Amino acid sequence: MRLVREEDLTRANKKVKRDFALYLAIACVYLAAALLLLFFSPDSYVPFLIADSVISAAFGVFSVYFFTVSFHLSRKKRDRIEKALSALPEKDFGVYLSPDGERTEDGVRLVAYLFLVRGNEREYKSFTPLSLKEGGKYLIESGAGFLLALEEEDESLF
Amino acid sequence: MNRYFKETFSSEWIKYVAVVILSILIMTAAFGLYHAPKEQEKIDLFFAGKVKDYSFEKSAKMSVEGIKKVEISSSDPKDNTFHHKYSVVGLNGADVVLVPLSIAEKTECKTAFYPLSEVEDPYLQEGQAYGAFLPDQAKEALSRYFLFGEERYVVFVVASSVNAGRLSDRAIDFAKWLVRYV
Repeated sequence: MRLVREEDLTRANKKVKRDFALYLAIACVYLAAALLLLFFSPDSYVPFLIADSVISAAFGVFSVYFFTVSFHLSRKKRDRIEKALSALPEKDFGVYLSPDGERTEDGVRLVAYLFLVRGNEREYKSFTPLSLKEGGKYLIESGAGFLLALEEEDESLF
Repeated sequence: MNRYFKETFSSEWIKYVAVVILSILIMTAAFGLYHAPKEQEKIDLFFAGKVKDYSFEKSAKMSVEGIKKVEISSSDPKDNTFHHKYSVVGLNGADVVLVPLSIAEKTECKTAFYPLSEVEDPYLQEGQAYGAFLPDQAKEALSRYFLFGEERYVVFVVASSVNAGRLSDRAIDFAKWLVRYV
């Protein structure tokens, strides 16, 4: 079972670009509205100033949220996938022991799993939760500590 | 995403507050700059004497169409710094000057002032009308705002003013409005 594919990276890249393009579109709309309010304001401009301040503050808050939360998470997830796929892949046989809780790396939520590999406990991270058989034997393909693929193996190999 | 937002809000809230404050400040500055009166929409009046009440600046805005701001600068002829202020602020920075006759007589009107025509009581120098005497009626009405002396006062339009025929005629119109003030 392939867990992380090149298509996932492509999709993640597209999401990052799409998110940024959406931000730019919203920024253009905001800028147009702000400039229209400014240039069409009469001499008694206080209501226009208040309106422009409100939309500017709203856009400012949205920008902070976008760059510190939404876009940040898209980029970090994309980076993690890229890191996993570009690392030298390792293939090992291992026995699934137990889930090892959730991890958060730069805001990206990951699920950790413990395997017994060559007599040692080893933790692997996954982008999505998996249904694994405790005690089950798997052929593990990993990159930079991330599970890239898992194949349930025949007992006889062990 | 909401969980991450909640986790990071305790350290990031200052950015949200800062961006709101910054937005308001930037917009206020932008509107202030955009609506700031242009040179031809502003009149600077130099008065040789003490100003009693600067609220004249507000009421004088309605004097001539297109004037958005009137600013008064002044200097008492009894002060040591008067001549310096008169020549720098009055004759080079102002649009209209209002001075007592004794000061007007010491000023070379040919270089300093714009020739005023169509005024009832003109002030002449070398046969040319450069200013207008302030009538007693106007002097009395304006005494609410300005501390006048006993002598007669003269209104002049400064030759270097952009509102003396260059960008507009508003300094000339303002000077004529002053002498008709009631």
